[in-house]
Amino acid sequence: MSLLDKFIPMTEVRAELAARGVRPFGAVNEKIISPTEGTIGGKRVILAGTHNYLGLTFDPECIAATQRCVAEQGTGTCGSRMAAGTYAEHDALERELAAFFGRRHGIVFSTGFSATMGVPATLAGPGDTILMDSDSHASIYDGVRLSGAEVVRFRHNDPANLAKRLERLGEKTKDTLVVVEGIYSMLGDMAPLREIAELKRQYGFCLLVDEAHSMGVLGKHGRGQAEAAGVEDDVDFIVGTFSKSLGSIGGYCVSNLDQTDAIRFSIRSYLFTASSTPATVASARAALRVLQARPELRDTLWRNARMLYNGLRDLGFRVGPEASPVVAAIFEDRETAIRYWQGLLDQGVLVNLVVPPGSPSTYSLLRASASAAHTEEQIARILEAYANLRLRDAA
Amino acid sequence: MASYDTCLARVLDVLAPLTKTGAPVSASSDLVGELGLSSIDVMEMIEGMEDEFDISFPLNNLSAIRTAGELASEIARLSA
Repeated sequence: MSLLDKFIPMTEVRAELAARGVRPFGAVNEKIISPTEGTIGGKRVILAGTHNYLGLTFDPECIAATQRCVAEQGTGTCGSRMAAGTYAEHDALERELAAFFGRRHGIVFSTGFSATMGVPATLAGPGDTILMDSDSHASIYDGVRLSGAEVVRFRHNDPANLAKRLERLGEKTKDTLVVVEGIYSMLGDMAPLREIAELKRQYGFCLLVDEAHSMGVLGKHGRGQAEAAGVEDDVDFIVGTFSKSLGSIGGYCVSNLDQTDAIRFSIRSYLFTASSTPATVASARAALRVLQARPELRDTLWRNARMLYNGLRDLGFRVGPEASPVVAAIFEDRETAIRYWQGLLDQGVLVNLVVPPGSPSTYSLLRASASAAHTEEQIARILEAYANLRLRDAA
Repeated sequence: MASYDTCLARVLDVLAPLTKTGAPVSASSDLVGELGLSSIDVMEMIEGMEDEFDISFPLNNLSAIRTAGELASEIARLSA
């Protein structure tokens, strides 16, 4: 077997989809018309597969801040955060994020992936243990593997299963990092943080929560699932991204622990990559202001999320365990999922296709995301497109 | 504590309905190459074994396991 033979299965899958004229992975948005509309193949489509939860990608304040910043500070920093790439914008965003989350320390990364991968990779090391939810994001899987710690999964959203693993660890729970997500990216369900916080009080582990999909979505102030569950004081580290509710790109970690500065200078994905462009940081700062100034965006988001989730459920689709802005329709059969993905696109609706091994189990998913910028009419059109496919199958 | 033989018998029982290739299942069966299991199949099977034998199976140990027998050995080691 040669070095590159391992890519044969992927090559075959790509060829099979291309032969069928289906392009679910990397469909090109030729023109972006608004936060919720674009064109693909020359045809106008509703964007229902982005995580633009608050719809801020075209917010006038965010655009103005971005334009002003690029004109004043240039297109890039050409340096890492550690070496000449820290501008006043990065510094300000770190302070503003820490204040938003009510923490003493904040770290800004160039991407969400580098934050959610880099922080767990650095916090734990050889001799430590990481217990992670089995539905964790790929970045967390990569991070825990890089850490050198012993890594054990627990069953998705199952505190009793986590407790069993903690019990087996005995005294080692003090050297254990538990990693969970506020909202899970595949099925849109939420971590049972109240129960997990109780376990933390009992066993004394360190708790990291990835609020990538829940910042701006959950909690009275939009601080995520830790706020919604009333357990913020139990969470040692919060990580997340600017590429969802904040409509930009970048990642963060916030904490109250005084070791955070030393941790910052130990995270390789922070140290050895170029810092974010000043303009992307400026847009994240502006979006953070909008998120706080306009809590009604969360109400609109949830109205749309419930309409989409309840609508799909009522149409007879198998959906995730609870309503959230991530709305997944679950298909046992990969072929049906691929056919439905194309059928939706043909009707002007773009969602995400997820097939094994990218999905949490052997099933496939059509994953849609609601946005505060979707109109009720757009959500109704999305549901109509799903319904048409159902009717066609029943005929 | 479970013996290797006990673990192997259970692994073979669980594997039999999961195989994609129809190949007979034995201690030397390669889980992925010979039996056609996906990474998800393997992880879900291990989750079941963790419950059954009251063990925590580190992901770190998985990359060295190729065969049903090696998996049974690891489960027996962890349950000791």
